[in-house]
Amino acid sequence: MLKKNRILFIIVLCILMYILLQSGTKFVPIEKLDIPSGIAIDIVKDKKGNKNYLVTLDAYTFNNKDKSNDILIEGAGITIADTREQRQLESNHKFIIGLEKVMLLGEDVAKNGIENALDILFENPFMHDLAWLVICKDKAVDIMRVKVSDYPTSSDYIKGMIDNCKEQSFFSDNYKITDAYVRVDAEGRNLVLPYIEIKDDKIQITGVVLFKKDTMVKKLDLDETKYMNFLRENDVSGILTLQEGFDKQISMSGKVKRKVHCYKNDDNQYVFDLDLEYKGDIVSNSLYEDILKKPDVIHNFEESMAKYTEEKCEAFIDKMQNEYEIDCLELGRVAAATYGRGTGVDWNEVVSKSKINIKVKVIVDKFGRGQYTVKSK
Amino acid sequence: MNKSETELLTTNELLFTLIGCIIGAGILSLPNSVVANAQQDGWISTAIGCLYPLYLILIGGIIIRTYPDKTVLDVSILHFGKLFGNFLNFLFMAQFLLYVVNVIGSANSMLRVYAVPFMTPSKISLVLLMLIIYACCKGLKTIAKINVLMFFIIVALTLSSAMALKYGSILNIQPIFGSGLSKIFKASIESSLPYGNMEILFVIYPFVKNKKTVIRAALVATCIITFIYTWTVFITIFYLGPDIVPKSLWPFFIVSDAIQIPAITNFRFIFMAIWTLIIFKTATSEYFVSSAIFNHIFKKIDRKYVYFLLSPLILVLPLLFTNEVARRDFFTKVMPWVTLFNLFYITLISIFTAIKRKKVSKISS
Repeated sequence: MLKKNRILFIIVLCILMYILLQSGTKFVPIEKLDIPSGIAIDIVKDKKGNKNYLVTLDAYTFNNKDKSNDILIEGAGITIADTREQRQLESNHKFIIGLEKVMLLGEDVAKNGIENALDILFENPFMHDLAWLVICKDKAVDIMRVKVSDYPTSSDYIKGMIDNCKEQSFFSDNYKITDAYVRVDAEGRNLVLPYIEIKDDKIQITGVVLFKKDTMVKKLDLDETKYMNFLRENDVSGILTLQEGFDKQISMSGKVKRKVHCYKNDDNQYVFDLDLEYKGDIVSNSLYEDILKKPDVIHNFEESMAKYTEEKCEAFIDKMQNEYEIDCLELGRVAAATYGRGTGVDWNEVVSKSKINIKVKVIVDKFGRGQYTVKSK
Repeated sequence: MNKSETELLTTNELLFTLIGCIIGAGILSLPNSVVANAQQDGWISTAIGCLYPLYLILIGGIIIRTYPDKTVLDVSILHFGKLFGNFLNFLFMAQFLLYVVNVIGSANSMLRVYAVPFMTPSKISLVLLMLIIYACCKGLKTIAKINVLMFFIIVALTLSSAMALKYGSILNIQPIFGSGLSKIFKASIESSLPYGNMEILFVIYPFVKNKKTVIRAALVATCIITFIYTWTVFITIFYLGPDIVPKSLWPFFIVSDAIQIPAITNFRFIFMAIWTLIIFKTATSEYFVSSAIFNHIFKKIDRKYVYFLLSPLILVLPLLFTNEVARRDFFTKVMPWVTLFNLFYITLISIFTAIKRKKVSKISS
């Protein structure tokens, strides 16, 4: 009898708890939510000429059973949070965050400073911090409007682009929102983000953007981007080519490993030693005919490749120190770790005036299946 | 707390109960306060913080060795008489209630940020409280068993954060000792709040089967806790860097972003769900001990009623903190006094015990 009462008590308690917890909360089916695949942030001017944020969501729609489609929901406001109000006026659904794949920032936002955008992302506990952060030429909305065939939204396509850009050109995968958090306000670090634009009716990566604190300073073209990445990132892959005329060239595909050493010389000037070890395979070769036969030809090639790359890197560093005046190689971070933090030193300035020694070492690992251009005679 | 009521604990169960009582919600926000003071050397401060529980164990060892069958509450009455002894015991109980309020308060604000923003704090408190009372009614042995299970979950979760080693950089924690010794020591005082609760040992040691292993188990527990805390702070700084850690209220959650598991978009929510259980177990152990002490002072009240009698306190008090910032502010102000009281209470009783033991040995010789 007692046991029966106890079970009854537990059942009643469970029902009461359910009612208590249920009250005041609303549950909505997933079809009635705006799930954005991408978020675009722009700065626009209103009729009076004041600056406003324009935030656009690219949300999936599930009305068509066979194919999911997308809808753009725009909203403008003085702050990014304010734009939610206007977006809700246009939207027929509730909006949730947490599944977005990319954040597209317009060039104006980047030039104005991305700190506000980062702050609202940082404070939101449901934010998916592994989404990509990308800078767009002109307006981010225009890139979001591009229709890529067979993809529900252009954001899905851009996600794939950034996912795989690390395969070539020494791009890294440090373009996530978390990466921006740990770089923008950290001592001796600078953010670099990929830059996309519409070229020939296609979305393309056309370089990277250098940031000083949270503000965009400079956009690099692809050639500079390659050598900047080569110097900046660790364990990234790409192709290096040595050329003597159109038909005489040799290409290597491999990975670069980076080591930085920092010390002060007699003039109390910071000196940075960058040791770069590039190890890879020869993928095409018409320049060195005897490379498979004579080991000293390999050695010869390794040296001239290293020398050529060093020249290219030095040219970039010269430009970086004298023209851009940003420490985009994150050398200040190494100096801060060696000589102490929080001393109020502006590492961008220090690195621009310091001495940077580059040493590239090229190691040929494999030759593939063989060499077709080798002469049998 | 009658011995016939509860089965005795094994040494391992004591070890895991001590770990379970100490590691709770504080570990998630620990890097924030420590790094704000000691920057990249925060992990050293955390390691130094273990001196507090070590001191308690070593000086309290006198009590444990002299009176292996009496709790510190009995010893306190023995030395100071019923009135003053019970007064000290009451204060001793109040601090455990304060810990419960702290844990539930932090669980409230954390859960409402990360997991259930649609729930009100009172509802979360109520659910937690019901679970706590239910577990307490089952007795010390059950709580010890919960703690054993939870220990493995804690270890699994903290070790899974090792995945962040891939993304962080050793440069973030260099230069070691760069922030200055004074700052490191100042920050280690901050870390005494998460290390608090070792006092629970002095209430539960008579319920261990093998009395000789009590002190050793407590020391091992302190080592494991120190390791877990230091690792947590270390990996957080390693992953985020000293400039970014103080920006987050619960920095250890950001580290969970680094845990990437195929087919799971965001590991943070799983991390949060499991951590709720850890919070529950800490609150249970603390509540159990505070009601045991209450029962010791007011012996006439039946134990099961005590659980319900004290429950309004821990239901209402956490709700008085209007927000997380107010809660942290309150506890950083109050905790040094609680710590001082504990040092005073345990040291005083130990000294009295030592004096008495000397007298007894003189008379008998």
